[in-house]
Amino acid sequence: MKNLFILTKYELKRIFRNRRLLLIVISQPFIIAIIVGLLAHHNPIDLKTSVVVNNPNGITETYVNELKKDDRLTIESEGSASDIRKGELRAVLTVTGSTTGISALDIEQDPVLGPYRAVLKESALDAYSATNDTLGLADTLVPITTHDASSQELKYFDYYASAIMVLLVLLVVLNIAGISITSEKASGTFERLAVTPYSKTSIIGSKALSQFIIGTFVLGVGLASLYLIFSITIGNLWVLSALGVLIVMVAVSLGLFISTITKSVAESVQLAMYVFFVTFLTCGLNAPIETVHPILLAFMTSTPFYYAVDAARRVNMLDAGWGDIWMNLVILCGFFVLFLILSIVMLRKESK
Amino acid sequence: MIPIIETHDLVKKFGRNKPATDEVSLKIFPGQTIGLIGPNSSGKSTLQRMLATVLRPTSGSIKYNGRHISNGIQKDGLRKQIGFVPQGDCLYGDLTIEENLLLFSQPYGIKKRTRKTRIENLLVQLELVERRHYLVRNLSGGMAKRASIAAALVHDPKIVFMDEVTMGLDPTSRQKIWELIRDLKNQGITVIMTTHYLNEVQYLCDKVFILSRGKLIEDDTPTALLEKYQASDLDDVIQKVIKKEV
Repeated sequence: MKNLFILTKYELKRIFRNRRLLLIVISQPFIIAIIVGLLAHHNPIDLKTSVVVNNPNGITETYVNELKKDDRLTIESEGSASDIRKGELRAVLTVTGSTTGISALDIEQDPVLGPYRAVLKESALDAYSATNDTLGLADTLVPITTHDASSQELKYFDYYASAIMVLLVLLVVLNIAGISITSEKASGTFERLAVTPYSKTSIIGSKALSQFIIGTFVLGVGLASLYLIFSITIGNLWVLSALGVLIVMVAVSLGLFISTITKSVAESVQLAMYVFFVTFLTCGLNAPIETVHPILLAFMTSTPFYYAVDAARRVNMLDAGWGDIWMNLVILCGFFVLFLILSIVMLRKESK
Repeated sequence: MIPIIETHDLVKKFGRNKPATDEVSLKIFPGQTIGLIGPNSSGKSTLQRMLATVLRPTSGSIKYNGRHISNGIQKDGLRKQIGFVPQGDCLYGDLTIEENLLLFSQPYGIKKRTRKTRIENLLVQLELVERRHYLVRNLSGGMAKRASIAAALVHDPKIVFMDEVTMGLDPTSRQKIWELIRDLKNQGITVIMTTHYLNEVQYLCDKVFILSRGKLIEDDTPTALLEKYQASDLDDVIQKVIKKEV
């Protein structure tokens, strides 16, 4: 028993002496708790919705005014289903009016909202009841139809599949790339390479390239598994492939960056897992941005994998093309270049 | 004769700590075998790593063949002349000896045939031929060290740095490495070695630099140092030098 306590004491001493590792370990529960708390912080608000009115009259005008009062929605003056594919709208609500009231409601909605799509229907019906109350009309059962803004037959799993595809790549690549430099520092091979004419850029480049090949293979296996086993909706395969390649590139460069800023393999693994878990929470898999606290939203939109998951979902579920996700591709390219440059800078700093 | 390496007031600081090397000025001439010795934390490895271009000095200057190295192209040129044997084995454990040698010989622009011959000769010279296809992680300590030396010599360098290269080896393995260092000396290669085994310094080195607390406090031949301190061996010299310092 005495030996157990002695060993425990020294084990704790070792952990507490590595301040960087300690910071990573201790900040995790704090940061993750805050993220989770801010993630599904409130009911969805400001779901961007465009309203199309058939047979406009005073009743439909009152209905649109009632919709505008609902803080769950932000009514856009213009917009069509193609704007949903671009990520600029969450729904298009078509209201058909008649002389006696609202005769039909149709919601074309963004499948990316997942379970939160129900909020749109609730808002449409609440506005219908409020209109009837205001105008003293009979509250009859209005025909309301809802459908996803997709030409494809979507399954419930499709909502998760796109994010899982991104996270699979991130998990494997971060684990490999995250320790690639630190393990070389630990084995001393890095120091040996440093006195050869191999430049820091080619050292980082070679790692990036080899891990990119592995990451692409992982992406292929992951995607094939999801498609063959669960028949997920793919969308445009070319666009998805290009996006996938870019996601692998960003994951590799982020992993290399982690490896250059950490001092030991243990630190690298801890930080890589930390980054993975934070990404898992903030990539948009768990809640749409309309439920997120503004502070966390600002953080989410400054991370690359939010854009990766957003683009992957729109390609998979909405059959988005190049023109719909080009901004996400540009942002991902930017993050790739940024992480790669930072990795080279950090590596060069090593020799100072 | 122009020194192959010349330093002037070389200082290396890590953070806010005391300098690891402090105003070290020295000259090393082509073909010399140099022993960098001193107690632990005296700055031997730091000095060697600066001379080998692994670390940048905080201040002071280093000239190679009378020239300052001011840019990346010049540094690449210099690195073609440098071989470095780090303290550990520092090879890729999941590659074979031959694969490691090929990897470390690639960036020097040597023709494929010359490289192949060079690797073949080194494998013979270091008695590694039979193990050439063994993964480095499966080698014994002595063999891994010899493989590490081979990787440092594969491009035919003019200056070889060896950091405690015989540490932890049995007498036979150590003897083999001594023979190799003598061979290098006979070929006119400059060898700069750090070690705690002072008998090998006495046996192998033309000149000794003794460092203490980052400062260069003696710079002479082993014989001259023995005479100066009326000492029986270099161990005795070190004791007296450090006592004098304190």
